[in-house]
Amino acid sequence: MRTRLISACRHFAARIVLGGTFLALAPTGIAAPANAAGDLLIAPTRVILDGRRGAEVILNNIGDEEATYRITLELRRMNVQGRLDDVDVAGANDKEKSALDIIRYAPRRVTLPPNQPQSIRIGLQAIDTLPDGEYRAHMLFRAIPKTPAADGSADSGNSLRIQLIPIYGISIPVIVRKGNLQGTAALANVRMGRDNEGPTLEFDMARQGDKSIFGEIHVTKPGQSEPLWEAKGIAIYPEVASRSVSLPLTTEVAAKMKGDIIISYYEAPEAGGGLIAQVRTVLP
Amino acid sequence: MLNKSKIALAGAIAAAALVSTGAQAATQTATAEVDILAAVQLAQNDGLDLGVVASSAAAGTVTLPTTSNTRTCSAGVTCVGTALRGRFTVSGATSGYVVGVTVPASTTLSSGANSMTLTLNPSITSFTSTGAAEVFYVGGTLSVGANQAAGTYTGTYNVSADYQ
Repeated sequence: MRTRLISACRHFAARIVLGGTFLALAPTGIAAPANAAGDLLIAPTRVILDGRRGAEVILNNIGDEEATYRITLELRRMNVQGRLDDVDVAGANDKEKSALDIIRYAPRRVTLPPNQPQSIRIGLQAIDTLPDGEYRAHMLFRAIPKTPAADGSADSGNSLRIQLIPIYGISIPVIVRKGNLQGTAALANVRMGRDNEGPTLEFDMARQGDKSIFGEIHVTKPGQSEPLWEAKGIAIYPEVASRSVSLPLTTEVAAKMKGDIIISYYEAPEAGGGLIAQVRTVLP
Repeated sequence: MLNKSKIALAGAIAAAALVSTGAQAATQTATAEVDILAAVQLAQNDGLDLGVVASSAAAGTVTLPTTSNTRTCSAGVTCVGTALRGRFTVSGATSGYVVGVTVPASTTLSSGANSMTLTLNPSITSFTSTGAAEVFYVGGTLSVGANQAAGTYTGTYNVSADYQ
């Protein structure tokens, strides 16, 4: 058990984390925000509904000012790179429209004083008439920025000034499963790559069946139980039959990924931790 | 111009331990769900700033890359002052967790009845947390109309951390 203070001098509530899991630390090298508005904590980060019972997501204002949050359901579609692209309601397919129709939640807007949690209840409309399958939307939690005061600067001549306000948000998938759904995944074409930031481990993940697969990747050397590298929270959704996975590596880790290696895709420990797929390969 | 803001996200176990009534609810409803313990904080360190731009009888563009603070101003616009990429830090995600970063393709800036379009471009689209802070940048291209009216143009854009 571990106790932590968030931005110690400003927040007096301690968060207690079970199981020794590392939780958010204030960004290193960045002063605690003087007027942080909209800081929020959400749990859990994934919701699966089977139609028999609802769920709750906890939203907590961990900022030091009162803040207003808006909660919306968004449609996202996974692309072959594994990114979740925004989908306009106008371009939604039947399954996506059904997801928006059946997922009910409240409240949709909430104003919270600091350190005040609020539960967002999620339920389902009757899904009896829907075909079996997986229906999904992404719940987006956004802090509504306070309207900045007009700066009143006198613009001379034809000059333009720009004032851009970012709205921070976090999205989590809300997945509805109807019927007895099956799904499997397979890994192939393991290779080393590079992105803007440095070396990457890349491979293709294929999926079969009618449900999404979610889990974590472990890279091991044959005969060694301790993984060289792990990446968690990796999904493949039913809208894609195959996606590429590109995992940024540190130079040290990349240097170890040579020769015989095994890449394993496991269910998350909370879901049983079973092995979903494995590939053994030799990297140059 | 902008306040730094951060957002943190944690699993049900952390929430359950939080304090009051909401935490109680989390423990009660956690039974059937897959509860993922993960956290992320998103902070803006620098606001995206294109400086001051003057329009003319010809339309033009102002481009700020994600790789430097050097603006490119096309014919038709005159750039004054300095520009700054949007700079964000994501930190605190559980080590090893993959988190996506989404910024919309464009946003509209308006000043009264006048408007301009700004396309947006993030330097990363996802990251695997190492426990250390991950810095990313947002650049963009502003389209300035011919004889674009002077004034302060305001707009918003969404930056989200997305769990798969």
